[in-house]
Amino acid sequence: MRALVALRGRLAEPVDAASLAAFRVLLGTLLVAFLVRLWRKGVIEQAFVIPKLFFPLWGFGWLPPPGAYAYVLYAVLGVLALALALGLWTRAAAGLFCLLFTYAHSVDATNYLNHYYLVTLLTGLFAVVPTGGVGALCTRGGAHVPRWVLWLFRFQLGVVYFFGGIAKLKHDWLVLGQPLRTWLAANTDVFLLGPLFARADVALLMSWLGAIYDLTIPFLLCVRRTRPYAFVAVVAFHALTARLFMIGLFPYLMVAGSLLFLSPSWPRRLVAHLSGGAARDVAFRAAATEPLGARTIALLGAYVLVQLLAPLRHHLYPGHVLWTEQGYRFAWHVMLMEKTGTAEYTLVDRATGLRRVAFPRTLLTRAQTKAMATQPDMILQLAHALARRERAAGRDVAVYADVFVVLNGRPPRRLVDPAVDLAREPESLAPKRWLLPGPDESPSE
Amino acid sequence: MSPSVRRLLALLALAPVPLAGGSLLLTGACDIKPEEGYDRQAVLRGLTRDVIVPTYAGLADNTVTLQDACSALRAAPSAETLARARRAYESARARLKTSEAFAFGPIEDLALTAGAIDSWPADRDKLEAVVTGPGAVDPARVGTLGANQRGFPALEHLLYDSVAGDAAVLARFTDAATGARRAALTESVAIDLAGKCRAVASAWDLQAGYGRDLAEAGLAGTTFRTQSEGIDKVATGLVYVTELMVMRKLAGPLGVEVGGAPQPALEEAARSDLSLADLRDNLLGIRAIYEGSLGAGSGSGLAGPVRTLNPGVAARFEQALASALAAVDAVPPPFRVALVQNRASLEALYQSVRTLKQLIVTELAGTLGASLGFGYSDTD
Repeated sequence: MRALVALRGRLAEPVDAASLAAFRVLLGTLLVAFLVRLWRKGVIEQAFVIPKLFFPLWGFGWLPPPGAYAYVLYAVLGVLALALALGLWTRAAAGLFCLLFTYAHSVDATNYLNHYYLVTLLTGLFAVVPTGGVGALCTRGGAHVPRWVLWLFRFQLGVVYFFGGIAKLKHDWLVLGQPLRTWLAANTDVFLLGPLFARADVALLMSWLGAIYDLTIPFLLCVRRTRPYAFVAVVAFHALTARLFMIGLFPYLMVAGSLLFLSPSWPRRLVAHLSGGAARDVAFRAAATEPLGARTIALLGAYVLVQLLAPLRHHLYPGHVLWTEQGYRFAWHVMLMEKTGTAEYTLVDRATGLRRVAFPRTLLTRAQTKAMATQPDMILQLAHALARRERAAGRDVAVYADVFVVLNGRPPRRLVDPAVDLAREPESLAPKRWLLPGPDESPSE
Repeated sequence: MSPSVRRLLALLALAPVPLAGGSLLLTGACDIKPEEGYDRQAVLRGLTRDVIVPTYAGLADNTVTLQDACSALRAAPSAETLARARRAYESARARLKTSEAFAFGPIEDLALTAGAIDSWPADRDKLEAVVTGPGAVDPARVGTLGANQRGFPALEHLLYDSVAGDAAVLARFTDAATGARRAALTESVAIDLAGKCRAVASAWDLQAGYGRDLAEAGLAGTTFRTQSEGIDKVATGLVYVTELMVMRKLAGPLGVEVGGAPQPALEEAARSDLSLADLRDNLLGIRAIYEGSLGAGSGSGLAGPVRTLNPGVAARFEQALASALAAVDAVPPPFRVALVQNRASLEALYQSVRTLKQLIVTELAGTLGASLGFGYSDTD
């Protein structure tokens, strides 16, 4: 009990808000760069304007896709990200950014990425917790924040690493070295290291080191003595992954986030060092320390609990998470699989028995076709869309899927029971009984 | 810092060493092949130099021959000049259909092609309206027509009529009222087509064009950030052509999307009866990319790495490709007749190409470490 009281007091202690301010500036700047890049690459057109059919994340089916308004949406997001960087009405800018960004990436599961989820969480935190007013142009807030704010951000980033590491504790990753074997072998032209990437033992070694890195780095960043080495490791790790894989914002986001683990006053020291002066300590008045209220404790506890449990929810489902993908999203399953597939549907008219084939590609963009062919919830959504389309034409059809999937270099295998009428299977979070066993499972499992 | 914390930190710091050793032991225990890579640059250089660039160069040359043949037809319409124009058309078309196995880069660039090389089916009514209507008929006019009134489909409409017969086609060229305009249109379309194909071939230049970009993928200043992206492009091209064959060229006419009722209007080249030849040339294009050679021999294609990395996949792919080629040869020509009288042979062809497509997507691409480039965004 005494320890809890002490912890409560420690969480309420004021700390310098400078490192949070630096992170805010970096996050906002990275988001602006990210949005400009998406715009220039034509992603907005590809993701929102061209598609005629969308795959909303579960629970988000009521959201209308933005269509051509996506350009407006992304322009607004850019302005909000800039406002976040500058500290202009930080909480409002972050909150609106969080909502709009989440909306944009919930209307189609094709576009789901773990680090987009992280952006949602981080901007959400900037919206709801007090992050101070250091370096902000127009934001109320002082030079310090309660310690729990800084720890909450650190916790959030630590969760990404730690559960990313937990997710790697799988046969494919640790024994087969997959999918790194496949991905590294595609990088043999990398300067100096390239020839090594052709070696399976190097891929396996890197798999293990990657898992160890993920599992330990948040803790090593937290301990003063190991922090400098851990920070160097963070930079090296993410520089390498940024060079090897198309993971966009993620490595830069994580390097920026790791700065939160340094002394909260590091930006002041840096500025002082660069300007040749001595760092001025921020005076913390004892009066600034406010006890942590019960409501704050409850909300914090709930948030932390959700973040700790959500990545593990896939254990509630039968089968291998990489195969069924139930509980796969929002769980930091980062860079874990190389999965491709082909999908076709057969529509059988319940009245006449007439059989017709439906090719997803005739309804979807190439990116959607590629994504849906391996993701069971998207396979089901398309089956339902086909059935709805037929119903609109006055036909009641059964929908069967012919789906073959390759997971981490194994031979192709059927993913969906071809005898199950998917039109009659509900979209829900319940286990999908129509999925066939994955390649690591015996047929009896 | 307490001794226990220090011990823990030391353990964490040293952990990679025994784990690295353990990893290497595991490698041995799991019997993983030590070498997983292959020389992507050799493959890309070989394919660009020996397959892709020669095909587009051949297409450009053949369309110039076609242009000359159409000029001769215009100057003196006869059975001989018509036959010569058709021979030239078929040679050029064979190159085009071979190139569909690598239809990326300049051929996709609408600024170069305006989509006017092979947008099928042709809009016959509009073409006939040009023949019978007012206004000059010259390459400039053709340049203003829609994509489906230009290129190969337009020439097919003008040079062939599998139903009415050769005499009827020739009679249209000698018709007193419209023959001259028809011949002028034919020549103008051929000139327009040759220009487009020349532009594509030039853009594939090995020294400074897209040919260099693909062959030297990964070098600064090229389209491709890495050699791997070049391989991705090649693999994606194979998926594209098989998808085109399955969904449009076979499933369409077979009517598999509408319950099996034949859809003759959806056949690719019914007017010239070249649909089966087109399918065969598509398959030969796939084989050229796989073998790295346009002839019967083997060059620096995908076959070498695939056979080394995964002989099982190589065997399955080669078997599937051979089966598809045998299936196309087993269809009694022409396609439009087989569609009605020998549907089973076309269905067998459809299934064999479908199998080939599945193999490319699920096994061949994976063996090559290729990511099929349909995604526009990042991953994680």
